[in-house]
Amino acid sequence: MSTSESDILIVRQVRAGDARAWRQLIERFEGRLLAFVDSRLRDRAASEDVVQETFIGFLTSLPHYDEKRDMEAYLFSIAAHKLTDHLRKQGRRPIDQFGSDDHGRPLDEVPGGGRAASSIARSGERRKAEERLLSESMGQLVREWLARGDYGRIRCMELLVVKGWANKDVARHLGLTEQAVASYKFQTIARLKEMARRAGLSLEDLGGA
Amino acid sequence: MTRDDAPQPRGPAAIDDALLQDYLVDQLPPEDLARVEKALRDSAELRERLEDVRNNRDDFQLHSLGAIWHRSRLTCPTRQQLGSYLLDALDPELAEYFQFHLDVVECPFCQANLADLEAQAQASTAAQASKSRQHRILRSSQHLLGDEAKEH
Repeated sequence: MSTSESDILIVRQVRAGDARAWRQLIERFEGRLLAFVDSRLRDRAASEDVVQETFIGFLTSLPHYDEKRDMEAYLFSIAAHKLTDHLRKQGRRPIDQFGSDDHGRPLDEVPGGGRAASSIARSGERRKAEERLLSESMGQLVREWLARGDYGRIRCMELLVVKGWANKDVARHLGLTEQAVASYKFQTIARLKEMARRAGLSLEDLGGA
Repeated sequence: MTRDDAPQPRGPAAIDDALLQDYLVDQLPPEDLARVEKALRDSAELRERLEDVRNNRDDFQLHSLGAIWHRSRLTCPTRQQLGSYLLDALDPELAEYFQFHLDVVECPFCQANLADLEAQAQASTAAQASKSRQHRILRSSQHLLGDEAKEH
């Protein structure tokens, strides 16, 4: 998903202090954010508060917002973070299910020094470069699969990678042989590694191919 | 058997790296989940250890890949496509894939978008309540607009 012209325009207007643009932005995204938060909290009043906090968080982090970033994804990530905070305050288990190493928290909202020193030591520039590469390469592969309507492969890889299912569970669910699942995985990893090699990086930790 | 002879209930297992790994992949029973959560809230040292476990997992890159896929929303339909999905106006193969993405992958963002679109389709009555919520958000946030405007 990419940022649309209208998203960029509305953000610029909000940055300039345009109250009408801010109202439009709220009208556009409030419903989906409320549905997202309420599906987890099942408490309408609390959900409305979390959404309100989300919009405030958006304005607060706006000076650091990258216009190239998809606005809806950005708002969802703030909402996930606010939701986690809300659950923590209630002593409930926060959610680590949004596929984010930062618990859905937009990096702009992470206070300085928020990450453990040991993590920083291991990660650093190499990890950032790996992540960037993975993002670009995986995006390219998915676009190729979508363009040729290869939904079987997409389903298989989405269950393996996003849901973290084991090969045998994916095979059972999709009516494939385990060998076919392993083959999709092998081919994908091989292509990602090849893309990494061309970029002068290594993705050996991906295993597989 | 006297009271003293009765087997003593064993205390909860220590929170080791294996337990933290299970915690990261959501495979702990509820009582252990609550215990680990509480310990994490109380101990900076344990939070640091969790971060180490997270970063040193063998499948770190595969986990990252899943996170990236999810975060970049590589296979999420656009809002417009979801609208067409609701109206049953999509190519059947694509519609079938979106159904999989919504029901099996359980993408929370797309589920939220779909729920919102469904609500919009039904709800002229809810419009007023929504306006009032939006008004409340506006009132509570509008003062921040000035700060941003000053910076540009």
